[in-house]
Amino acid sequence: MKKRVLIILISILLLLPLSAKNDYFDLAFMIGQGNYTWPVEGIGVSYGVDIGITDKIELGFWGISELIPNPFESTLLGAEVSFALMGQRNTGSKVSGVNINMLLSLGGFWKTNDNGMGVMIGVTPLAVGSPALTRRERCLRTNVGWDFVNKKVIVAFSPMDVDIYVKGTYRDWI
Amino acid sequence: MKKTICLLLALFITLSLFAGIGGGYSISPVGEKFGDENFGGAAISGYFSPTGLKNIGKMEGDILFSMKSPVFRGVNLTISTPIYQTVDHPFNYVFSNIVLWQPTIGLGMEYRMGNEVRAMVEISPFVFQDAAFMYEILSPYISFDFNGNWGWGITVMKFSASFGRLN
Repeated sequence: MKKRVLIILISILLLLPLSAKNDYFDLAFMIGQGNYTWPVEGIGVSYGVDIGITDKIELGFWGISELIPNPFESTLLGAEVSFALMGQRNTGSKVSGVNINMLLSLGGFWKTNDNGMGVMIGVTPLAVGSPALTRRERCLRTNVGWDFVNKKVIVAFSPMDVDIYVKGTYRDWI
Repeated sequence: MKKTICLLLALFITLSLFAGIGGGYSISPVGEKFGDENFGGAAISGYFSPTGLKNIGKMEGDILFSMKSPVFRGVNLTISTPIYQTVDHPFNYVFSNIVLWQPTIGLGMEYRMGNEVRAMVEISPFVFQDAAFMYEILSPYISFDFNGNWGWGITVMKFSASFGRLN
């Protein structure tokens, strides 16, 4: 099982060379609110990094950590490849990509409190913004995974995450 | 009746002193822990600022709802003010337009189900105000009851639709 997850994660990292010679590379830091323990008895914070690979593919590393009731007692860490379903997220120029998009994500996760690991599929039904505009809001991001270690389903949900782009914005084309 | 009308008129005339008034509203995720009790949910908020977008003496009311029963958790009333304001800061890189950075401190009262009344102190280091929105990120608060018990809470993100003037 651990081998399976490692293979998936390494496969994700092998996608990085796709960005070697293209103008689609962008880098964003994400912050938002998320939960993966149900029923909701507190609140969590979501955070992460997104790296643009191609005009429609991006690589993401993210975490959701519990804040209430016990700060950072439990954290879900994930890595995923996301596909923009409604057009280019980045045109590789100062022209903005599609500013209303939908993302489909495939990846894996690890839970720090019980060492749960597994694969995960996610969908972001509404992503507003693009790298050229320096900011993107991802609404109602939902990830569903299977925990091979603890034999249970994991559901992570973020009502809104904000991606703040530091590379690949209109500033790079001025 | 006449006295009430006169009082209201006096109040409204006094308000003209605050020609640059402002306000706003928002829905934001919030979590709170007090003693053995904790919840996560949403706060519906509205605020009034007698100084427009400067937000000095801002008065805010929040209604708190939880994701688990009981759904209605209580009400907060706070008065807050920025301890510092500047447009010359590194966070402009994050926004499309120039924003006013207003790290803020607030004092208030909480009413919670079970007739519990508490005092609260809120610190919001990351508050950014532009012409149409106020952005707050990671604003924690501490609450105390009058028996020496204490708890804390946090608003992860709050984007308030704002109206008002800066001058």
